[in-house]
Amino acid sequence: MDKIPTQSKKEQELLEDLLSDIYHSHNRNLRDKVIEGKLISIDDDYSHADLLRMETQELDSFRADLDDNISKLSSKLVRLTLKQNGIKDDIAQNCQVVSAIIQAFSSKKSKGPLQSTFSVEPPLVSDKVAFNDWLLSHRALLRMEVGLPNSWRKKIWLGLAEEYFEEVGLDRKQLFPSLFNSTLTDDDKHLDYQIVKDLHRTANIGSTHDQQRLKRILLAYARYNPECGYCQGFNVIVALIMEVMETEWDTLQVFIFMLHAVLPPEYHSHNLEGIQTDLKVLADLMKTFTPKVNSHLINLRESSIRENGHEPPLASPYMMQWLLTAFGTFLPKKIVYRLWDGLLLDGNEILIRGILAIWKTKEEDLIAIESTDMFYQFMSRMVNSNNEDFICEKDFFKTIYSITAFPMKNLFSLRKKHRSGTLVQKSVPNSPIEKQGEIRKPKSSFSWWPSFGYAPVPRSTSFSTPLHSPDIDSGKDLEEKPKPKIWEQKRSKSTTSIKDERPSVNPRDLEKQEIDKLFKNFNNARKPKIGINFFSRPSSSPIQPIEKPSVFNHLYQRHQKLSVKAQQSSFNRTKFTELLSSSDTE
Amino acid sequence: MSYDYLFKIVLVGDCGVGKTQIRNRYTLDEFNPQSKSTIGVEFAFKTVNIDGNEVKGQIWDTSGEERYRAITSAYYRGSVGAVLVYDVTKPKTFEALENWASQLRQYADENIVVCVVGNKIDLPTREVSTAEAERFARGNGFFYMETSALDGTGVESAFRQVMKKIFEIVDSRQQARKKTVRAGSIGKTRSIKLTDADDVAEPSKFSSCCKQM
Repeated sequence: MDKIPTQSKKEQELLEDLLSDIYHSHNRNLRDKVIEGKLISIDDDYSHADLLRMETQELDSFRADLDDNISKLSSKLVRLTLKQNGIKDDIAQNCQVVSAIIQAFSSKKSKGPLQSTFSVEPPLVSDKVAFNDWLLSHRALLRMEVGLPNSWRKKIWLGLAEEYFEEVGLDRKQLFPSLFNSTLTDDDKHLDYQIVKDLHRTANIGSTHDQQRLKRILLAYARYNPECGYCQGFNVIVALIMEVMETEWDTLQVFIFMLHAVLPPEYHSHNLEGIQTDLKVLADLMKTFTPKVNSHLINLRESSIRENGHEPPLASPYMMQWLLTAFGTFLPKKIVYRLWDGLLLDGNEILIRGILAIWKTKEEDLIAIESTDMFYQFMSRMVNSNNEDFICEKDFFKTIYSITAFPMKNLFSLRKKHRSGTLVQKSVPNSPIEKQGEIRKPKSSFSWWPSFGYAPVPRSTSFSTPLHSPDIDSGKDLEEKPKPKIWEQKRSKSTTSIKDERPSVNPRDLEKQEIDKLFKNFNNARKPKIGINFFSRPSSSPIQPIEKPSVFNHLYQRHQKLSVKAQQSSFNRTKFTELLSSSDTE
Repeated sequence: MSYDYLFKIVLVGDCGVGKTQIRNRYTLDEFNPQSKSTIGVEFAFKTVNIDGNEVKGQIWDTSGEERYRAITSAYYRGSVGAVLVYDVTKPKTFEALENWASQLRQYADENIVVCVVGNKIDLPTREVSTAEAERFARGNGFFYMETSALDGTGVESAFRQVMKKIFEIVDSRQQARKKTVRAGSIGKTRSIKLTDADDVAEPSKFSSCCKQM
């Protein structure tokens, strides 16, 4: 039974090889045709003079050759087109299967939460239902033991970035050529000096050719966002994106998407305020999620302070590095890419989860450490090893997705709390943002991307009852939840029968069952408990009422310079957030 | 590995002056042209023998990137030594020393031992003279050394000089207080700027080193 298909497959392969040989040699024959001692290639354009010099007979035979070649190539084209159609059909069928599986395990009620067919590339974000289904499906697949297939990465990253540019109304064809302009202005020269210093000191960038590409992209970004310019660490991130995306344009698009849409604001600008905030947030979260490691590190630090008078928080230097490059300098490339899939699809809380997961998975080693010095040595070994033995990919991702439900509770409120604290220490003189006084206003939304994803469009039947399931995972609530205004509105609209906030059936239990089934089906392995609530509505939505556009638009000036249409210059995070959140409230 | 003393030493200076190369030359005796730019802080360790004592240097190799300073300057505190590096072929990095010194004054302990290091002396394109650099160092109460991380010149002795100087300070204080202070806490007389509540609560204020029992 098995032999027949393999044999026919082999035959087909042989046939194809043979055909390609014939075509190839045929082309070569033509290419080698010598006219009056001059070797001309089939690819070259014939000059009028060349043809005039040929004898009639020669021309005839040449024409016959060309005709022959054209007909062969035509039939090849037909064959390939048919083959392509076949492949397209296969892909469509496979997508149907994936949709069906996701559908089957997502809900028993009605048609389930997915209304559109699965696809690798994201559908247009303007089609909210389809886009949201796409996000949910991919998030579900991310949580499987192996993550998303590597071959999807380029399509997904670029797809998301392109949607972002579409949504913010930025005409890349008009803007990008000026960003990649090779003439350096006086401003550029200073940037160039900074960038060049890091080019040869970037991992994965070996050849001079790659260094030049990296330089052009970094310079293009600095021109795109002169407010931020170049920050060490960009080189690491861009080099890693470049390896996936290949072209400079696409790399820049994905990088901009990552910085402007996914990472919290000011991660790399203004004294790294975003990172300073997140370091404080992490110190709080470690108390909740990695209590053993946290208290051990605090004890070590305290005893060192008793002896020596001072010791900085032990984990901070490492977490700073991890946040600055989104783990690019620390984890093996394979793990970094997988983590970034999650980062772009699930939002920036993946970085926070990643850090907590490192402390958690290394808990045993860490609590055995007896002094601060031993801690630094242990961490140095871990950082320098960069090998997969130190971080177990499976455990790492399992912890990331199972440490707490999505979206992480309190992350928003903790960021808000610590951000205002960080702002006091600001010391960037003469920054336009500071002059305008805008920076002192806390940003209204720190992570619109996950907030969009976790606020799916209302559906009539699936999970219609529990829009809000309060505080299920733990009583360790550090802060009051942000009040999700949008959800309140929605609930009053769609669930008139529900009076109590607490649903009669816990939706998480339902989801968990379903997810367990999904995993069983996909992995045929142990019953995993990872991948909680990817179809869920949030327990607390990070969406907050948006402040009207008092936010400084750092692209505005650039746009004027580049004389892009005025309406396009309205690009900013707030506008996009508004767009998205308004789409949810409809 | 056991040691008698642990000294925290910070490496500071502009981007690309060779801090990480100096650190690698000192702790690993290697020069790696492929070395990557330092993001944040990296750590290295080396134990040496000074007057019969095992002294461990815990080296905090910080990034020169300006915008990191808001975070990394907090790591200067508690260090007893600093190696302030500039590139002898780039006057700009020498001019920046003033700024780095004031950062150290602001964030590190006031009695920190500082060694100014002019690196890359193997290059023929030198632009900052020894006399000029020595003048700067003397004026600030630092001492001055010249190194080449590439061929190793001066690296070992720069660190040794810093460690020895720290050791002398610690040792003299220890001798003076031998009978009154419990082993392990030294130099109570040393005045340290206190900014943290943690520190105020703690009576033993010498913030620099510890003697292990």
